[in-house]
Amino acid sequence: MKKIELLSPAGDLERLKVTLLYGADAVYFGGQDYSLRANANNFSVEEMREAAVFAHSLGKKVYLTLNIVFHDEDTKNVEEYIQKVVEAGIDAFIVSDPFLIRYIKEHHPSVEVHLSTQNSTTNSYAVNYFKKQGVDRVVLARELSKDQIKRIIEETNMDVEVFIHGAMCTFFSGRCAFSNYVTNRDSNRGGCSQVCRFAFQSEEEQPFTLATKDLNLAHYIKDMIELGVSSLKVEGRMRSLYYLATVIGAYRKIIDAIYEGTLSDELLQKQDEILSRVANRETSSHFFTREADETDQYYTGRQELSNQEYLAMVLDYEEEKEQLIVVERNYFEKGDLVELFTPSGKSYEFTISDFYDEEENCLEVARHPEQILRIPWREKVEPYSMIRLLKKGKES
Amino acid sequence: MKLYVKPSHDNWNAYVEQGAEGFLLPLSSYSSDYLITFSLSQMEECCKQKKPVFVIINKIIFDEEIEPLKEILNRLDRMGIEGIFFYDLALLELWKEGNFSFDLVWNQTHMVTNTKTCDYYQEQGVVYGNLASEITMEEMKKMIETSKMKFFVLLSGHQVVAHSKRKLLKNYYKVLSKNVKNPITIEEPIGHQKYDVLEDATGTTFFYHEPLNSSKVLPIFSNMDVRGVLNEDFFSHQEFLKILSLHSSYQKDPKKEILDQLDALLGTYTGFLEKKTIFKVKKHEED
Repeated sequence: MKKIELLSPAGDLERLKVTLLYGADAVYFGGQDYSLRANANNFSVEEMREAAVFAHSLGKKVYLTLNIVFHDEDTKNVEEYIQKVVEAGIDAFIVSDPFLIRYIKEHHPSVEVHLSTQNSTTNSYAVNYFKKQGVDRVVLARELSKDQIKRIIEETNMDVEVFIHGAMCTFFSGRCAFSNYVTNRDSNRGGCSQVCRFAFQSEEEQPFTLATKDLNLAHYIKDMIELGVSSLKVEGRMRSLYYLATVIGAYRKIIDAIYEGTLSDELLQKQDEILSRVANRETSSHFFTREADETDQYYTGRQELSNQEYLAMVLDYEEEKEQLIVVERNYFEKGDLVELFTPSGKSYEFTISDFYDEEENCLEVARHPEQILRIPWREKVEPYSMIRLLKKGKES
Repeated sequence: MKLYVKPSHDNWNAYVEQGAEGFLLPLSSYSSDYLITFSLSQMEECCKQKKPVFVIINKIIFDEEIEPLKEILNRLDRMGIEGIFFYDLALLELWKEGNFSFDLVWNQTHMVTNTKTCDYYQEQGVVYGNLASEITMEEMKKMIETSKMKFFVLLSGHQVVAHSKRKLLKNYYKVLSKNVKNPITIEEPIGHQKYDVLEDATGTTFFYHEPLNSSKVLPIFSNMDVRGVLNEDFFSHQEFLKILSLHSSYQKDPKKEILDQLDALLGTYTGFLEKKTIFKVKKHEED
């Protein structure tokens, strides 16, 4: 049986490498043109080439989002662009506008075409339509239940991708131009200003809000595998290195444990706790288990929580001195209980005791994000390992 | 240009008398984004007017709805409707499978924005497209002139802004512990523009509160092969018949005072006809 794919987003080359090292089987990213996240850094063609080489060296894949809804002015140079990115080595395009399906299949048959969730595909007839058009995979709409996904797979035998984690749109994807009307930024061409997270005045005392909680389907990965889903997609091309490492690392452990027959309630609970620590909103299963209702939305106040548990990232290990070379991300101090976790899935709990600056001056507190620090450590760990806070040593 | 009406009442003749040359009728439970929808029996009656009737089936379709939908399509075909406005590609697949005699109108609300995709669907057998309201007059004009597809364009009505499967009004009022009001008007915090929010069996739709007034571009559209749409939702019946009558008069005798009367009735909101979205796709020439 083909193992289910874990598909991660990446906003830049470093995040792409980290997320692959932490266990993603494939990564999707936007180019500097034609992508729905125009505010992400996005990849130049040269960076795509490097991304493809890196991913392929690990036996993994890279997918390029080409999923804006085109206006005539955008279609002028798209064919040349497609030629360049195919040469750069991408494995698949994620498209929304169907004129591209035919063009890519005719001119670049070796590259897969995945239909974006922007098309809000929710039934087997629509999936079969696109299958006949040559689409290799359909990213299903986030409004589908488990039974509806099951039926689509049974009736089409199509390669389907399902969102499992991250932010949710309030509206059907592609069926929202709120950003265009409120801020004049084109939501279907990469300019979404997330108007759905605004609070609107109504005739009632309490503002009218429509913002959704985030998606978390960690408890349903086994169901996805049993349904025959091909790929599990994590949302968030603008998310941080730490977020991606944590989320992808957690889902990797869950998926591997399922295939190894070692998934326990305890393991699932632990990974869910790890996921909840990097979440900056509350989460829900939304439409997967039931019709989404009032419990899946926010009605008051600020919805984002700040998250400062990410303390440092490992840049290197100096064997001679037995020290980790790390870059600080958030304040920490002697006495803090922390966890060091690695791309290969190892984790170590320890209490921060001695640590030093670059000149080897002993420090009591790390208070300068981006500062290079040295932490005594007994064995080599891989670059991109990270340190997160488990418990403050003292209340600060 | 021909004038098509999306009515709010089934006194079809009243619309025909004021110049309606065809009807767009959203089917109850199978259409989204409309305040007033119609039953199959009402559609059957409308077909007797001998004016072209297009039926709107633009909800997002789920598998459990496919079988009843097949029966509906068969019944509509027997009625002799002119075509169906569709959003979900299931409709195109069902249409190919059913060998129906009616035409299809590609009606993916915000996505009918470029010639290449219109031509793609035209080659799939789709005769018409309903132009997105978020493109400029210049973009519309170019598409109408260059595409193989024939087009509908909204001339007046309240533009659809977004559609959700969620029951956003029911949820809101449940949290408030109050009876649901539907529709409601809300105001956004930046430019203080108003939006109407409507919930139905298919979900929740947001509309721009000010009606679109296309009077500035009527002189251009009037001479083009295009089907102008007037949508009665949120208008009073008498006000709408007047709007229809003025549009019809302008087709026969394009006088400026008719445009002035339309401006007086409809206000100054012109949507994106003359306003490009400022946030375009980034271009990086070095690539």
